[in-house]
Amino acid sequence: MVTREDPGRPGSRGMWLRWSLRDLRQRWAAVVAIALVMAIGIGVYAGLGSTATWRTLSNDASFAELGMHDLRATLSPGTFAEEGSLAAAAAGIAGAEQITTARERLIVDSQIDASSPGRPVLTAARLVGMDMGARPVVDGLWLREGAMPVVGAPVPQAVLEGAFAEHWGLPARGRVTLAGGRVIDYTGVGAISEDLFYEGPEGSVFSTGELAPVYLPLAAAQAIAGRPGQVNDLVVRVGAGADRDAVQAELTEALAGLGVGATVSTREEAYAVRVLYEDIDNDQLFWNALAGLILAAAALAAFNLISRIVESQRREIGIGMALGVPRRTLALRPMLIGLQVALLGTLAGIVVGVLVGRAMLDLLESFLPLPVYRTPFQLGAYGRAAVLGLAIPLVASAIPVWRAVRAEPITAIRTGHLVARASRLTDWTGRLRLPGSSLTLMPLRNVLRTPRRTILTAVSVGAAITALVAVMGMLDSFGRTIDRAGAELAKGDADRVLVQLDTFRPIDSPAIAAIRDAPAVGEIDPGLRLPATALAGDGGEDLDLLLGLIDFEGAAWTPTIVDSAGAPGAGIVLAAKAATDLGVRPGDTITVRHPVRRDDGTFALADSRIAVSGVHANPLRAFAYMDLAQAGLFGLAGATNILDAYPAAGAGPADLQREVFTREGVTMSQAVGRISEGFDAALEQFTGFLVIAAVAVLALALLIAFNASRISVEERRREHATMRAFGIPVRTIMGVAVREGVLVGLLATAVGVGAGVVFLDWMLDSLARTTVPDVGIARHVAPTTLGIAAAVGVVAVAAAPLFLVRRIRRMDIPDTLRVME
Amino acid sequence: MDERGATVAVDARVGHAGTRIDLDDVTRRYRVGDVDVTAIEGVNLHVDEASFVVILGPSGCGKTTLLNMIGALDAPTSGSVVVGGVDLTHATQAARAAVRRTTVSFIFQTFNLFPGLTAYENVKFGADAARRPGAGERAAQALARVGLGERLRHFPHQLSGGEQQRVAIARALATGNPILLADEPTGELDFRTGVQILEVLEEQARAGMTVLVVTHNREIARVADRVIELSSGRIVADGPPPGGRARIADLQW
Repeated sequence: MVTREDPGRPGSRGMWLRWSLRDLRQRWAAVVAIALVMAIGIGVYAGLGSTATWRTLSNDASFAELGMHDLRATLSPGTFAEEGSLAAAAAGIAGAEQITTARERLIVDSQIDASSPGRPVLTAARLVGMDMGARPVVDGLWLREGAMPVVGAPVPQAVLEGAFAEHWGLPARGRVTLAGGRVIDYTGVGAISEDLFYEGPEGSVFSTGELAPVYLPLAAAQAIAGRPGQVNDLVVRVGAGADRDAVQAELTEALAGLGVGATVSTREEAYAVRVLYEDIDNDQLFWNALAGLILAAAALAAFNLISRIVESQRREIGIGMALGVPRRTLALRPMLIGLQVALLGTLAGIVVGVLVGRAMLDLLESFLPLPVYRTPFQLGAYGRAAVLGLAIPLVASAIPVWRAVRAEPITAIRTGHLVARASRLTDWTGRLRLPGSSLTLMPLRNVLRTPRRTILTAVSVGAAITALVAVMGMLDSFGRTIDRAGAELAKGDADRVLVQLDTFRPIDSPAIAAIRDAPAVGEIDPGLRLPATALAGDGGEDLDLLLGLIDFEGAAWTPTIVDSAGAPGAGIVLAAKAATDLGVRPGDTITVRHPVRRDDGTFALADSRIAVSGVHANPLRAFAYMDLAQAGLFGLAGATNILDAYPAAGAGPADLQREVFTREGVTMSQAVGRISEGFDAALEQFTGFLVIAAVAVLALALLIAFNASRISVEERRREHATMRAFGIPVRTIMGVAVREGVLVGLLATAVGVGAGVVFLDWMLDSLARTTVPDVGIARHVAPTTLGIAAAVGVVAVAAAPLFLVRRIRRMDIPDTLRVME
Repeated sequence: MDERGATVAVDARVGHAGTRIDLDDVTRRYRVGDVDVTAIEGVNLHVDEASFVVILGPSGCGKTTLLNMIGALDAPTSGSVVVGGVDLTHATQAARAAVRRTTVSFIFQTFNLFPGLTAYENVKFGADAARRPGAGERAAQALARVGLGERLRHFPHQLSGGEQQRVAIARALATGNPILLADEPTGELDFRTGVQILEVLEEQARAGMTVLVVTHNREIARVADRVIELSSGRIVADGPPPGGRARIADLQW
């Protein structure tokens, strides 16, 4: 009878525990290795799973810290009101008691020259005049670095938006020039809540670096803008429990009463709020998919490795059965191995999770700086990971243990040649007459002899390679997309400079002539760039387009047409992604909603049916092109708002940019060669996170490959001893082991790369469609990725035996040969 | 067993030097935990002609240790071991491996066949290991020699224990090495199969090889040319079997 009081008796729990601890001492390396595999799996799962909550909490805290407005009243473009009148209107509404704070601002467009020697920085700017010292805060300024501006300083002082400064590598303090030659000092870098994530100027490709928000004391902004005593913006906070909708309606009515056109929008309509919160869910889809894949790979590897350990106890289990020990008692010892792996893996997994989370946080803080980051330990995410971490090794142990204790004792305790078993496949392959010496054949024969073991090893290594290929393939695909976009824009002439004008100007106007005649300008191609919308119809999603009108016949740069129906200039040329999303092909017709300039100079929106004349090579969905000859459709015949400018002989794009910046009507100039930097920045979030995932997966893959291979070599020790008894040199034995590793590795790599490509396709087809809808990301697996996959799958698996060369060299041959299996 | 008419080419060095074994005052001690164990002490043994030698003794008397030293798997603590003209006393690992490759070959109690290779390939391994030319032909001949010419493409798990041991013998024969070392070759086998194995081994001795068989089975010693009896690591008897050499057909156990 088994009792707790007598731990020394066979069958007592104490004995099994001690035996298990001895197992642990004997197999600590294998247990630690499997635990590390699990740790990476559950650590990545927990770490990636934490970021969504962190981001939500951090967004909430940051917007709260900066006093993000509840309502914002924006006057129509070009409309201004007397300072105090907007606040007074707000104070005069029926629900005024619900408003806790209201602040007036002046927001005007400008340009900025923040150039340093050899590095032109000439972009659009947005001056935000605000009450910087006011309390309580509404849309307050977060000063990331430097000092607050001094009101009334001889040279006006400001704070420059931090992401812009970072993009261009500007210092935390400096002097810049605004439109009209107004010099200001910026005393620090920071942002207001609305600019924690902001759009670029209309017509621009990317926000980062193309628009410089500049925050100034209200009076300074009024002076610089030539609008003394005027404002055009009001931000309002309402109290807890206030009826915000009612306040919004009353405020709209009150402002209309002032005789100014105004739009009152809510906090949720702000671009920063929309993007920062929407992105969380979209991004999390990616991380969940990746974490799931990595965890699955780890689970499979753990199953393989634990199975092999349990298998090695088969005979001892059989002896126990022969002695009449109950099966559940016999199962205890191998199950304790699973428990050891589970506990160790879970503990290490929490550490890995914290490290992954730390790396993710560092990345988040760098690409998305927020004033407050809230990163509490995510008990839920770690709890789920811990449950998985405990469950997977136990399940992985239970299956082989179940198989082992179900065997007949007489079968289980067999030794020597009586143990030998093989599959039908092996029997069949015996008929094959394979060329080569027995040593040459041995690796292939070994692989074929135990197909289940071979497949399990290949699949577990392959699963890690799948994750590797999927993650790195994603990076490759993003990289290729960036390169394609950059190459398309820079096609033919990387010195091309895009010159954005402040408004639509006649092509033959003096302002355009002045630009054309600038000494550094060799040639210009006038064009138009307009916002438009492709209407999907049938409940589909409308697509925002950045419609460029260019001279298809005469312009130096035209898009590369990859598919067409007739002359490209006869209709609209869409990005392949746009055509796919709209479900159209060249020759089809789509409805485009676009601005039309009326006779009085104002714009109206019109819907036009336009034939799709072609598909261009740029992966960015928004880019669409029509011929400049069709400008009449927009009421803009003979007008231009963007120029393709080419430097004169002897001049460079920097010279051209500097010269045109001072010309009338120019708001921004950018060399297309630099635009790829914008692409990089736009995809930085994904690539950065993917690099973290790739590092984790690489470590996982190497660990799995090495361990699987190490166990295989361990299982072959008797054969190695036999070979040594016949005088086979150790290097030859290692050669056999390495070749066997190569075969398994090739299989694992083929499985891994194949499944990785399938998984990558799935991620790009389903997840990227939601997460990065504006970019047509084509699957690309770079040779480097395939090389790394092969290195992990083949080289690591094949090379693992080499780490055991010392053990084989020092092997006690008679002892090993005498060992009973 | 059929096809015994076939012969297996034995290395050209078979002869006085190739089959000669000289052990002088050999002692082998091990350290097991905190205890020094003397497995062999002061053993002098000389085999100077092809013969069927049985090393007899109970478990733990040192017979396997002795065989391992002759087979260049182990080195003496003191004394000298010269096998096939090669002094193994202080030989390097590489030199020992060369002797195992070209001078001696093993037959193990548990066969130690390669489970992934067919019978033919297992035997060919012996020839490949010894770098003999025409390995395939040698393998086929060796298998035919042990009566398994029809089972070339069978894997070990498809063979009976006796057949597996015969494959192991064929593997040893295919090496063409002049000294055959067998450690309890019948230990895993039933009587009838064991007798068949002894017949094959005896035949190799008649064909010019030195065959050393380690066993605890006194009955087997009756068919030997020479019986060396060990007890507690020392040779206590050395000579022809008491009562003269018996026929294999007369054995019983």
